[in-house]
This record gives sequence, C-alpha cells and structure tokens, in this order.
Amino acid sequence: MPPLDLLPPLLEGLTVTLALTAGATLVAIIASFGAGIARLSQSGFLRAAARVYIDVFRGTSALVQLFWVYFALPLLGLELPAMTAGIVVLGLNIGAYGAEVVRGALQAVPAPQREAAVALNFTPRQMLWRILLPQAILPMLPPFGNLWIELLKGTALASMITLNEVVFRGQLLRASTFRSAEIFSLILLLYFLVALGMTMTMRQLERRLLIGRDYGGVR
Amino acid sequence: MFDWTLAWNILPTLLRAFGVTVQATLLGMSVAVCLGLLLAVLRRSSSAWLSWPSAWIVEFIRSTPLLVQIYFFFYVLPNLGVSWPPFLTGVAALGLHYSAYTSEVYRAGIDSVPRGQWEAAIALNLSPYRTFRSIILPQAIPPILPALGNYLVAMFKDTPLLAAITVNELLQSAKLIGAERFRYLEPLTMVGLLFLVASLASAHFIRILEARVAAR
Amino acid sequence: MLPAKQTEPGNAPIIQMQGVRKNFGTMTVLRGLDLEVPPSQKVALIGPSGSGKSTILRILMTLEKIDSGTVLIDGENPWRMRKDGREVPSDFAHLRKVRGKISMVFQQFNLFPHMNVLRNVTEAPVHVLGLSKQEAAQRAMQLLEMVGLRDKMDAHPAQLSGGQKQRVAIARALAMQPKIMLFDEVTSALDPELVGEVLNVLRRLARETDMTMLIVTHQMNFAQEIADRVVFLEGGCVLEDAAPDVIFSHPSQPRTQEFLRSILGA
Repeated sequence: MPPLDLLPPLLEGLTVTLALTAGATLVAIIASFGAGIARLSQSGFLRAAARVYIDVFRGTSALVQLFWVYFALPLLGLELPAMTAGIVVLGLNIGAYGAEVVRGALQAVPAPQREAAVALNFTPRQMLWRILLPQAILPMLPPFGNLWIELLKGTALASMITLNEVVFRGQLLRASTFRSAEIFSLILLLYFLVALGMTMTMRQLERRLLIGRDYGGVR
Repeated sequence: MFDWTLAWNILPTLLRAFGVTVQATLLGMSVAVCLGLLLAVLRRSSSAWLSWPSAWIVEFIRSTPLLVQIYFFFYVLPNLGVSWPPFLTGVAALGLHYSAYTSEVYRAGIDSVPRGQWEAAIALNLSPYRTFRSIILPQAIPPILPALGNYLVAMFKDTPLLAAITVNELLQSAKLIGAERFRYLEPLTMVGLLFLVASLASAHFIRILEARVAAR
Repeated sequence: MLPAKQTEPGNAPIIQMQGVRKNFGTMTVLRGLDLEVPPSQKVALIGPSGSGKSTILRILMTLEKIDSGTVLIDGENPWRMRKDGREVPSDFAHLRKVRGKISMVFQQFNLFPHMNVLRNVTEAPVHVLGLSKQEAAQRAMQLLEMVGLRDKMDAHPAQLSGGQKQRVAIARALAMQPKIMLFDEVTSALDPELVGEVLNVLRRLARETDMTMLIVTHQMNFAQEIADRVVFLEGGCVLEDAAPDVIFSHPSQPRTQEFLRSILGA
C-alpha cells in the first residue's frame, strides 16, 4: 500500500531540487569550459588561475564549501540566500571536475588535427573553436553524464543549509510523522528516477551528435 | 576581519576531529573494499539470480545521494531493532555507498586480465576459488590501486556528511565552535584548509602510485 | 618421472567424439565430426586455418561446449553424468574429475606473469592434486630439468624467450600427470630459431611416454617424424585419417594433396 500521502510535499521539494540542478548545471558548464580551456591557454596567468580554482574546489568537500559560503561569507560582507549559494557552490564544484574532463578531451584530439590546422594557417583561437572543440565534445559526454548525476546528488547537501528541497522536506515530514522508512525510501526512489531520466537524456544527446560521424568502437 | 588568534586556539579541537574524520575514512574504505569485491564477483556470476540484483543494487546506490542513504541508515535501522552509535552508522553508510563504486573498479580490473590466463587455469583444473585467488586477483588489483586511491580521497571529502547525524568529525566540530563563539569564518576556513592540504597530499601520493604501477 | 612406454596401446578409445557439431554464432566450425583415439596414440591434426583443429582441442579441454553429438574422455562425458541410474547434466565436481585427465599447452603459452617459473609449475599440483609444497617442487624441478630450464627456476616469465616460456608451459602441463596432452600450435607464435627447442621436448614426450598426445601443428616434417597417425581436417570434418607415410606420400583425397602442396611447397 503505497504511502501516496507523503508524495505532495516531497514533490514540491523536488521542484526546488530540479531548479537548483538546472541553475548549477548552467554555472558548471560555463566553469568547465572556461577553466578547461584556460588550463591550455598561452597565458601563464590564466593557466595558474584555472589550476588554483580546480585544485581548491576539487580538493575540498562540497558540503564544507556550501557551509563556508552560507555561514562564513556573510562575515566578510557577502550574504547569499540558500538557493543562490547552492547554485554557485555546486556549479563551481562540479565545474572544477568538468574542467579536467574538458582539458583531457581537448588534449586527446589527435595531434595530426592540430598539424593540419597549423598548415592551413588557422589562428590558435580558430583552431580551438573550429577544429578541436567540435571533435572533443563527443568523448566529453559520458564523463559529463556522470558528473551531471553527481550534481543531482549534490543538491541533497543544500538541505543542510536550510534550502527547502526534497531532503529538507523529508526531514520535516519525518519530524512530524516519524515514518522514516517510507519517507527516505520514497526520496531515494525519486532521485533514482530523476537520475534515470538524466542518463537517458545524455544518451539521446550522444546519439544526436553521432549522426554522420565515423566513430569506430562506440557501442 | 580574520581572527588569527581564534584560528590558532581552535586548532587542537579541529585536529582531534580530524582524527575522527580519518578513522571514519579508513574504516569506511575497508568496508567498501571488501563489499565491493563481493559485489563485483556477484555481478560476474553466470547465474542471473545473482548478477541481476547485484547490478541493480549497484546502479541504485550510485544514482542516489549519500546523504539520503546516511539518513536512511540513521533513522530506519533503530526501527528494525539495530541501535548503533552514529559513528558506526556513518561508516556503514559510507562503506555501502562506495562499495558500489569500488565494485565497478574491480570489474574493470578483472575484465582486463587476458583471457589466456583464465584458460590456463581451466587447463590446469584449478578451482574457481583458486583461479581468482592466485591467478586473477593478483593480476587485476595492482592496475586499479590508483582508482581505489581516488575513491579513498573522495570518501574522505564526503565525511562531513556525517555531521548530519551528529558524528563529531571536522565539519561538526566547526559548527559547534561556530555556535559557541558566534564566529563561523575561522573554523570553517580552517576546516577547508585542512581538507585542501590533505587532498593535495593524497593526490600527490596517488600520482606516485600510478607511476609505480605503470612502470611494472 | 615420466610414465614408461608399454608394449601395445589398450583397446577402448581414450577419446571418442561422435557427430560433434559446434557453432560460433552463425558460423559452423565442426560439422558432425567423428574421431576416436586409442590410448597412447600420438595424433597430428593438420588442416587449413578455420578447419576446426583448435576447436577440437578446446572442446576436449572443456573450454568450449558442443552444440550436438557426444564427447567421451576415458569413457566419461564431461557434461553428463549418471545419477541414480539416470543421465543428467553433470555437476561441477564431475566436470573437474573428467577434466583432470587432460592437460593443454597453448599457442600463447599463457604462463602466469606474476609467478616465477617454479611457482607456475607447482601451483596446480599443490592446490588441485593436493601435493605438499616439497613434493610439488621436486616434481617441478625434475620436469624443468627435462625441458632444460632448471636453472631458470626463479626467473619470471617476462625474462624468458618465447621458446623458454613454451617449455615451461609444457612442464607446467606435465606436472599434472595427465593421461592426454593437447598441443595447440605450440610453435606458431615462436621465432623460427626457437621452434627447435620446443619440438625437441615434444619429440622426447612422444618417444618416451605413454601419454595420448593430440598435436595441432603446421610443422609437417615433425608430424611425419613422431606421429602414429595424421588426421587432416577441412571445413569442420575429417577428410583423411591415416598413418603419416600414407598421408604424406600418397594422400587419397585431392584436397589433402592441395593442402600439403601449398604448405610443403612440393
């Protein structure tokens, strides 16, 4: 007998989860490509800055970062609401991992491609945008898919800085009804279903980009 | 702005909590390493009764947040009559969550052992247990040690989630200090720095490990 | 150490394959193959690639299952057994019992890279046959002596040449004291100058032991020299089956003649 009465409040929380996920995804994409490309830049400053960003955000815990932005930053003068803090921190956190994916994929484009670009007298910027990036996108997709799921899972952490997403709602429900097993099972199931949807979306994206490409060895 | 005296004063407390963090990580990883191997073997089983459920369990665990799994353990286990201290609950949840990841790593390692090794073991009539123990695992494990190392570091960075169930690790410790002294900036920054230093050091060691393995 | 040669081979065939059919996906590799081998016979299996020679060995070694037909090893079916008077699919213990009578040497050696030579040869005798470490080591050293590699006892496979690796592989298989030894193109992966040392070992085994030997090979001169019987396979069936002098001097089938001509350049 399914605990359907628990669903409405949880689903409300889920919409907040999805909004957070969407916002953070945008930030992550910008950060990934920005820092990933910067890592390969001619400018030593850009390379170092990207390196610092990536190491700091990958080297510290996402939850600690969230806490720092929400509880410590106000003391330095910047007070962010929970949703904004969540979007920025999660986006930058996943973005740091994404930056390494972007960098790796760009470096994995075979050297002959660069040589051809140089032979045709492309500028470095043209080479990046017209030759390298288009070829690097497809191999980026599987790891990006995994990172996207990590981002979804990361939104749960925002419950600890009082954002009323699905886990936060779950805790409220638990405090009032004590039906822990049902509540958390439902929450797990909801995440699982959303993750499934996200994975299928990525597969569709991969398939679209595969059309017209000669790709040996892809399943 | 940044109160350096305060930062210095709270360091001992934070270091004690760091010990709890390290303990939780090592214990959790021990669980993940053992359970992961079991899951990997089950997934490779020729019996669908064993391989299918374990595949779905792995998928489910990997697709759902660790925090919710921790809450599940913390709130539901007592209702089933199991009353563990929060530390143990946290270690169990961490171990289970990461076993899903380590099982994938083990699978990749086992799959990379050349087929001829399996066949030689069959030709010598070695039992499946003996084949795994003496022939396959010794060849499967060294190449995957760096990947396991990365998950160790990842688990270390996930220990702050145990603050949600009152385990006195680093983040919880910082929260308590912050609540007590009304200043969160110093404790949280120190905690962040501690994590950063520990992460960078481990990443360095793992790179050395990778180089050693590649040289074989 | 090696079982001494007796006078006449016994009567009941030690290998019996009847109507064996084996498909790999849509490809049929063995079509209704019949083959009987009496104990102690040394058989050379020859034929073009894809004719199913290696598949026969792999089936006997229980590395592959058959799609139809019967396979009996020393009178027993590895995949079926008698239980309470009925015939049922065999359990794992039965399979291993039958498997224990056969050993195989592979084209790619398949030595265990993480063990030294001595351990490669003693591992199975200790854990499958239940020998003590000392007994297994003694047996191993005698066998390594026989194949000329006793001084390489402590080396690792990576330090050996192809010919040396294959000789260790032979010692490893012999350590199990099988009734039947299978050799799957054991010199095909070797540089030409290393082939001789391996063939010398096989020659000695053929002359001095009682083991039944099935040798898949392209070395026709060698086959002619040591085999009691040569079986020519093509397209998954036995096309010709006779003594070496017969097959190599006046083969009755035109395809056999063609094959021999192409391989021997005669």
